[in-house]
Amino acid sequence: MCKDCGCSTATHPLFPGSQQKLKISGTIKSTRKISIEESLFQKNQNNASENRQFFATEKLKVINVMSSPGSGKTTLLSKLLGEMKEHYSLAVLVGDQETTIDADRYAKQGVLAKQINTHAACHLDAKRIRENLVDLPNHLQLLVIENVGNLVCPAVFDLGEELKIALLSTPEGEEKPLKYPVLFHDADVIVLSKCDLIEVLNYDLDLVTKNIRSLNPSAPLILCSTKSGLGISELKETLEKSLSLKENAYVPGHTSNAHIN
Amino acid sequence: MHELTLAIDLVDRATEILKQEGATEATSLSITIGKLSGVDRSCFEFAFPEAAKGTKLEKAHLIITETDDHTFQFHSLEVTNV
Repeated sequence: MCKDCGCSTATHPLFPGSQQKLKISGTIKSTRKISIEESLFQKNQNNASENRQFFATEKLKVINVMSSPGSGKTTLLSKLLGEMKEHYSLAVLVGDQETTIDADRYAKQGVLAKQINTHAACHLDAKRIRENLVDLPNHLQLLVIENVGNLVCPAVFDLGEELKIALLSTPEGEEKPLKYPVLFHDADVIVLSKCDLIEVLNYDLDLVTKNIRSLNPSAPLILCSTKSGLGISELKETLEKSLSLKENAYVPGHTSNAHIN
Repeated sequence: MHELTLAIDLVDRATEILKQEGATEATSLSITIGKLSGVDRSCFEFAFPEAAKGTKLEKAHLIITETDDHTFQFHSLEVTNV
């Protein structure tokens, strides 16, 4: 096929090469091909790099938590962060299309949270995170971003975070990681929530583990239940270790502006 | 549908290039979408004309190549000068 106009000849007999001139209604129209070769994620990637640089300067550790809607992100994180706020100055940015329901739930646990309403958008991107950083207090040590509930779109957008957590709840079934591979493939920590339902649901723990491991052989897999308290300490220790949080432990009274009283 | 966000980014970037190059309009764009990129081809094909409406890319033909990896790449832009 001719590379210039798509006709069936190998080389276009009239206009060889990538430059062609066509005389159309008395005007000269010239066509040329410009080579670009850049990632189409570049725009978000540039914003994410700026965020990453800012986080490094501020010594701020950032986690991006992703899962389906209703899988228990807010319940688990408000419990976990309600405990962690005694040791670290921390805040949450929580994304939803509408309402401040989740930010209110964090506030009830004494966790500082800012709601981001994405309206039409199904994910958070790096620019939106940057725009919302200005409202957070100074000297934060840990920022948790609770992404919009969605297994597909959030996985594509780097926010500049250091750690990605993929959360899967038992009622979603064992096969979700295989159906939505990108999120589970790229996760640094994988949490299986609502594990108190394993028996009720006749949930196949071996099968879900096998499915997760086929995509991600090395990320810690933590079984959690906010009802029984299973896995909360393990998750806390995993985050402290992965992010070297203890080296930056909270000095009571020093950065108390990160707390809602 | 995050494909619309990405289609708008593509149109913005291509518009910038058209301006730099002093070109009148784009006739075609060539991109690659990888299976692990998290971008759905048919959603992107649906979103692109919406993103391009009223721009210098409105009449541009979108040429998509598929791969099995994470690639989501803008290869080339064909432009016209009148």
